[in-house]
Amino acid sequence: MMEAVRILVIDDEEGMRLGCRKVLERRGFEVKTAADGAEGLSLLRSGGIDLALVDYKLPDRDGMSILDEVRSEGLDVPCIMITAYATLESAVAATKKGAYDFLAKPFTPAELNAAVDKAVEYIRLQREAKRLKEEKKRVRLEFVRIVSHELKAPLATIEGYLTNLLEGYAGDDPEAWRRILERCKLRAEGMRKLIEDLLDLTRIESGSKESRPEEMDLAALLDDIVEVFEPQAERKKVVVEKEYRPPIPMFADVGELRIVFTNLVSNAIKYNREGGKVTVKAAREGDEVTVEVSDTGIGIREEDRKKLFTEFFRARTPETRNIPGSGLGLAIVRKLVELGGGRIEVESEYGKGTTFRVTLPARREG
Amino acid sequence: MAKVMMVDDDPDFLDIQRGVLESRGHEVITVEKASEAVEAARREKPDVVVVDLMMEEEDAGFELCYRFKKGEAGFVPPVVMVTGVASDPGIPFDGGADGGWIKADAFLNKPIRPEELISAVERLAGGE
Repeated sequence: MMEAVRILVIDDEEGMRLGCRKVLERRGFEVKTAADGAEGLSLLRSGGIDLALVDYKLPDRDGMSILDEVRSEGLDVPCIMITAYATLESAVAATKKGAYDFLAKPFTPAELNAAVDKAVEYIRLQREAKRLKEEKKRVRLEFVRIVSHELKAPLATIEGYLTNLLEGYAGDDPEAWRRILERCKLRAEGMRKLIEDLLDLTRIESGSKESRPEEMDLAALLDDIVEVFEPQAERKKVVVEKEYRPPIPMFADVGELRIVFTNLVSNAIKYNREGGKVTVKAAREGDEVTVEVSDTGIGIREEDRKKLFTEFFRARTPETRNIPGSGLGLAIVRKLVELGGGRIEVESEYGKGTTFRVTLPARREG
Repeated sequence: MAKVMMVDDDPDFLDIQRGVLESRGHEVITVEKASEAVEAARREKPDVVVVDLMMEEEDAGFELCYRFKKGEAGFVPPVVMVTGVASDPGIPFDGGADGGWIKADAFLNKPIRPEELISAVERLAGGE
């Protein structure tokens, strides 16, 4: 529920002030009153007022001039004008000056309540919009902060190593130089991957990457992905086994599924042991397709498993130190899987291996 | 020649600074976990300790510096505090700006220049 709404009634007639107070307080509003324009304005300026009821004719000034002040001073308070002469001209003039609504004297408590309720709903929406805007800003700033840090860290490492090489702090053993350069290359690769993943993520989140489901064969896509990773698997002496029978017809976005399974197969090889195995299983059962990518790798600790799909999270173990990664891959995978109406699960044993299971509707809707 | 202990959770950072200090003939011991640093210092008796302000937990470096200065390692080593956060908001840390409540003997902002590290370490190792 929203916080209390504080209403100011500016009217020189005491009966009017008392009447409004009685009606509005009964509804749970906090009510303040002012007998003339000067008192009213000073209350408005001191803050803590969410809505004002302003009489057109005040002893010391014109009610309309209060609208001018409210606007020129940027006081964010909607005003309902109270008038004994509800003419079209005065209504137009007041609207131009930013009045939110009108009440023609004499009005009944029901009319007062109706006008106030409408204004309160407006205030509620304004507040909600403001809150969302601030939340969005906060999330964006936090994201920028993390990205800057994630880019600065490898850059600082590369700079540090290069400084040592250039300024003679790296000894004179060419093997040591080589190790330093390899480390620099690895960190540079990590930066490139981060930038590529950021672009993917931005495309998904901005909605500019519209899903285009089409008739496709999942088996052919998986064949293709496994083939791309052959050289990388060979270098690590990892065997990739395929356990599925083509074709596996689906109606889905090929581009999205390619990103999903490329990430999973790439991880299964990257986080594997030398001489390990990756198994890609896929099958269609009824309306659903399930793909499992398993590895015999380093596994994921229980405490890390919960955070696995969080942006920028990377499991920090001695084994992951030399594996470049942006911390965004699985966040992207989960977003895409959910976008496609599916779900992703993970089973893992630290030191033994990990299985990611993706379940998707065989025919994507919409 | 001094015996220098460096505490930082970034192995690359440790590796880089090791190169710098070893090229000057200093002996370098590295510790990646703040929680293990006091024990390691008790064992190794370094002449200077270099501590990163921001480790796993945000204030691990402060905490560690405080423990060293309380003498938990059996002696009170000079401490060089290294920080990567100072340059972000543009607030430089130094013995004066913090009102003296951080008990470090020198502050270095990341990225640190090799000669800055060398001069801080050699000044403190020789002076104490």
